Amino acid sequence: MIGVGAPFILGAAVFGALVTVVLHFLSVRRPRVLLLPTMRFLPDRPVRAVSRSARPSDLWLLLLRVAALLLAGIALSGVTWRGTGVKHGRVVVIQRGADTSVETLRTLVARAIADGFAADTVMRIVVVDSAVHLLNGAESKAFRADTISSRASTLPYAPSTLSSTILVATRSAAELVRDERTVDAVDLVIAGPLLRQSDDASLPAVRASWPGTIRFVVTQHDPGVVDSLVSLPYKRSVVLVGADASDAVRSALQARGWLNSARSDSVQSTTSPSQSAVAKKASASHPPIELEWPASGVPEGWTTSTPTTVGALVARGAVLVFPFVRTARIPDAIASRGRAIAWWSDGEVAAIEVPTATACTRHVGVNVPPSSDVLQGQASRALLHALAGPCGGEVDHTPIAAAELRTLEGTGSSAPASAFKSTTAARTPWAALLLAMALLLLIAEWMVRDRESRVDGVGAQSDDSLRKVA
Amino acid sequence: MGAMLDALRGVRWPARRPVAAGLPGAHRSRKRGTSGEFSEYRLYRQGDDPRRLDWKLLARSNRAFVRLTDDRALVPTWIVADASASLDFPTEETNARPTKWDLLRAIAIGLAAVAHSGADPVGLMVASGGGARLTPRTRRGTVREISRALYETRCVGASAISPLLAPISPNCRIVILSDLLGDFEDTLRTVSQLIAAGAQVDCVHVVAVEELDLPEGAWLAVDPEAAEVAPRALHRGARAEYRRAFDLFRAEAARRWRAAGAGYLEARTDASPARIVRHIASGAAGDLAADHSGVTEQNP
Repeated sequence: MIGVGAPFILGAAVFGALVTVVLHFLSVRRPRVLLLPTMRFLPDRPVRAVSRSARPSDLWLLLLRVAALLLAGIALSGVTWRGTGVKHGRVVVIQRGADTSVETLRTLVARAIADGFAADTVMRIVVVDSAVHLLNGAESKAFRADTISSRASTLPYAPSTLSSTILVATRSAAELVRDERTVDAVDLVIAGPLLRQSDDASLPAVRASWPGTIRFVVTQHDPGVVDSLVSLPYKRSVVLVGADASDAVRSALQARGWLNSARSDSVQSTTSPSQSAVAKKASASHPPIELEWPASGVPEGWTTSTPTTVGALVARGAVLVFPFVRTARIPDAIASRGRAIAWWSDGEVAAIEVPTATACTRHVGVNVPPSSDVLQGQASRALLHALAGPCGGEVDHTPIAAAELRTLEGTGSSAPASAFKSTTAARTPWAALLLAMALLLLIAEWMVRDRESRVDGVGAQSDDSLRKVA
Repeated sequence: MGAMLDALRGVRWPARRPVAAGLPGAHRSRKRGTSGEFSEYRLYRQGDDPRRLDWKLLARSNRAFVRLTDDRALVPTWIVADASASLDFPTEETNARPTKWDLLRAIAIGLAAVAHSGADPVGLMVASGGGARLTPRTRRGTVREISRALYETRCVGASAISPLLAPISPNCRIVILSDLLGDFEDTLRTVSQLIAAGAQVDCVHVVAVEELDLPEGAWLAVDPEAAEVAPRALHRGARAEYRRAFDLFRAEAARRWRAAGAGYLEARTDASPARIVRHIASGAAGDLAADHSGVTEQNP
């Protein structure tokens, strides 16, 4: 099967060839010579006249020009031979969050394999959690959840956004098309809980970049994990760990009712009495957040730095102005494992969240003077909410509406494989050869034209007839 | 050619006016001689030959009259053929026949045969490089010599007719066969002088039908006699303009030759040569007559 990387270039070349052919039929040229004794009675006009013929003029020139145009067009348009036997491509992207159990994931992969198990289908399975796992061929067939779990990734509390999922799919499709040259179109299947959280501002633009329809498969939530992490109203519960916290910190958390001093029955604030039953269930399965906020010194693993005064802290987009003294810096090794939740005003990380097996631990490298009331006012509200908030940030776990999903699916057919080929990748080793041949043909055309112009041009004055007359 | 000569058998070609004195022939001479064909009486003048006095009339009327009789003389005939390259038309490109030269040659041979049958000496001059020149003779085989000379002639280059006419004696008959595309003015000037001196001149203007109706299609017209002249385009738009100019030229040529006192006849290549020769031989009719068969004749 023949594929064309840039059809418009090939079309332009074919159009140019057609125009050349037409011009050879309609060319304005010197007509035949007639020895006319009464020529003096003809009006003295230019000697060129339109001569239309049923046959093309200058057949060799026509062939050379058309061949050069077509060769150059083929070379520049990236015509490729993809062999016989067209195959269909399919990219299955599975969003995996903390609410996606291993069994659900295994079921999804098995279904994707079963759907794509056809001789003419080439499939890529991609599992996206906090990292991207590409399952190739045999690996996907012998899928084991612990294979993915053993890789350097962690389960996010919410699946990745649809934008990033589509981008992953686009890249995977490009690799699929590059590896399998006989693929003519690519299907995209996205499986996951498809939560409202997955919809971000860039989704419309990213969706438009996928040149085909998308099939969405909404997966079931894992009740155990979901209930404990997501579904219930979140109850802030903080346990101070590590070195002794500052009295200012302790009092600020206590004042808000978030401090769980006994680690078992945290002080919780409910939003409404009607939710008391839910809150009880949450308290049973929802471990408190560990907060390491030493009154002096540095959190465990942090490095001590020269004390410098920094005038402000930034958290959740709000600024807390205070003459803080910075005595600790977070090393890169820890920073890469966690998620920054507060920053110094110069951009350095001031607090970080590191996931644990059940929840997360937050390390804060901000020294608050024991007698300070900086954490008591409204200005510190954003910082404390960030520190006591749910692990992984606050997420919206409402499913995306069915109508919106239909809009995202789009109409039409699968994405053509040509859409995933870059111009560079479309070029073949034959392009240079074809261009060289086109150049040679143009040189030959010039030589033929030059030879004929010697005969037809000025030499027309002295052709055989005129020589006979002379 | 034999068919044409058969068709011209018995045709006579009398001189249009009395010819100068010469050897006895078939044409009325300006000289009043002593032949047996009585013409008129004239009073005797001093110096007249007394032997020509009509003695019986003198006896009856007591007046002296001289008996005058008409004299008959021969008239030498020159056939001047234009053999320039322009006569070789139509060329092979248009696949048309006959050419102007074919018609001219047939007319020349026919006129020579007619003149020779009238016992007039007939000669030939071909206006081309190295053209033949045969002095007027009456001997047997003259027509054949003229015919051979014409068949051996090739139409090449440009030729001038007036230099050939200059040495010709005015006491003869001259037939110019040409397409008049050469030295038109010089020829007409020389002819005028000859006519003033008493010569009888006829002009046969040979015109090809293809010159009147140019071949279809686009052509690059080249003058066969002047290769240095820039070619001109022959296309649909130029045809009407060409025909208008060519008709004007032909009409002007006829008018000027007539005004000079010469006979003028336009012969087209689709006309019968024998018919054209008959027209020339009977030129004494005098009036302009348009013939749809391709002959346009005018005699003064």
